[in-house]
Amino acid sequence: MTQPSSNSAGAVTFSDVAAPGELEPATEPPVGRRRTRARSASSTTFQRRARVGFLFALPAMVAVVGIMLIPLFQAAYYSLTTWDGLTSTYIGFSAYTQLFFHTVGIGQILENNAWVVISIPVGLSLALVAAFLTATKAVGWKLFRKVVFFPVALSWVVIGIVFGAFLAQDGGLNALLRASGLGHFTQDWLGSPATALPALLCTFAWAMFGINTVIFISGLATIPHELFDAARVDGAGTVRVMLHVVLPIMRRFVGLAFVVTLISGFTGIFGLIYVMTSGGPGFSTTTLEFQVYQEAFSLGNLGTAAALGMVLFAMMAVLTAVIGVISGRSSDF
Amino acid sequence: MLLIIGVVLLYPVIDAAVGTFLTQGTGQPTLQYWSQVFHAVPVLGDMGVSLVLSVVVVCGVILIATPCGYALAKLRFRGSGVVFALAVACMMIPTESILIPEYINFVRLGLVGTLWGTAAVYVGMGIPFGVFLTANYFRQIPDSLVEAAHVDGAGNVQAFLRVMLPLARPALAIVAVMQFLGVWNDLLTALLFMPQQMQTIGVGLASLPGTHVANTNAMVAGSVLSAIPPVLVYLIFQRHLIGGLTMGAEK
Repeated sequence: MTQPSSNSAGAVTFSDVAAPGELEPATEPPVGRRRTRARSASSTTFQRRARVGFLFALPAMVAVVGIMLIPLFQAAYYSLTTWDGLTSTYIGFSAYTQLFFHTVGIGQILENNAWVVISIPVGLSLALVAAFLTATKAVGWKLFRKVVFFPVALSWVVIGIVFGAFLAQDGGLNALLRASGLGHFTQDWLGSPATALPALLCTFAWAMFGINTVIFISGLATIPHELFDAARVDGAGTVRVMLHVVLPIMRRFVGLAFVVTLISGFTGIFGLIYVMTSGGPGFSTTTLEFQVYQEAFSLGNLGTAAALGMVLFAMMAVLTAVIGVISGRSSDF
Repeated sequence: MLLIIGVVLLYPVIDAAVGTFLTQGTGQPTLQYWSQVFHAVPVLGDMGVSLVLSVVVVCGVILIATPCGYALAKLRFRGSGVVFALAVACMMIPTESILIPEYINFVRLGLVGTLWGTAAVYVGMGIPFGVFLTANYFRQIPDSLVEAAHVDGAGNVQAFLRVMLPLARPALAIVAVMQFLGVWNDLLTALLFMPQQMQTIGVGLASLPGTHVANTNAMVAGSVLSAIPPVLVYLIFQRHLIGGLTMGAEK
């Protein structure tokens, strides 16, 4: 990639300056003269390094610009047009007013995304309890820690197929209900608009439970044990220890778990929806993410799809920033 | 208490998996669903496609992202801070937001319906995470190691390849595992960009409903089979995975 000549030259100048043993802190004393020499020589070394560094970074920068940034700007432009893939007509911001006021199902879709957000704290509190039990070494904690994380290895397609089977009319959940005398509750859980979204969100929470538990376990590991003991000595029960000792320290980790779950729920579960419900019945399980695909590849409205994609991007940016501020983290995920 | 949670968690999966060995309705033991899967869908062929695609993407991301991460940590140039910030920002761009122009661009370039085109999309979208992770990792390695390599006569490239790269193996493992699982488990990009006659296992399974093997048990059987490689990877690299996921919080 880089010319070997320039590199070996760089090495030579450097070893000129750095006499054997000079880099060891023990031989620090004769600083004065050598420092000035080193500085004048290293300015060229640094220039060369910067050049090599730029060349090292170049392929990645080209790839990201070509595959992510250019399409992002194109999406931003095409979101202001009506576009069928070949010809586009610029219609300006009326594209967005049309999107929000005249697109069939848009209200339902935004509501579904809101339900995704609302479901997150429920899943997180369960994971926090499980992590707390694991950290305090409740019965079976070793086995539990091994098992809980494994859904992370499963694809949304696999999870969707397995839970589609479990929640079907003749599936495992209904069999369980019949066996426990609750037979009149049996139904096709994914088949009716009232239960499809809750069923989908439960599946989503199931899939994210392991990751969140593991995040919380590693968070709890940062809390010194004396803190628990001190709280216990003060006579605090488990619940109070959770609320007043654990939660404040865990704020950053709760924030991370929230962001990870939100990113998945908003932008990662296309496969789950595609396999389980295809967004139906009606729009009852369609989220923004799924509608981008539907608009583009089922309906051919590429402009509208691009606008939906921009709305999704904006929502992600705002929500992660808000969570970052609340939980005291910089937006580093 | 934990055991109860564990059982509740695993029950749906175990129930569905056991169901693949039982005749629907009567509950007689049978292997018909498993043979159905092998005959009706090229499960193993599709898994082979997924494997090739994942390996290409993992290699691509590591080859392109690692030097960049190293440069941002140790060979800083004017604007390298901006590049790092950009990588972090790009990690937040949802696939759906850029996929449509991407698709049209790739159609124009004749890359839709090719393995290489699909791999390019995955690689491009995987690079920001790779850069972020390796840059952070290289930053933790003391500069004195690089200097020592220079003293031994190594140039910038040799210092990177011979000294720093072997030290960065844990970070590369995280990137590789995350990319492998990401590609193996993805549906959307593969659905749009892969050739019709060459499908990943995810697309193969997801397109079963509505065909003549739309039997639930057969689909679950295929799913179980397709989950074996990622579960193996998960079992081997569990620690790395946890490291990759919690990295953001522990800094």
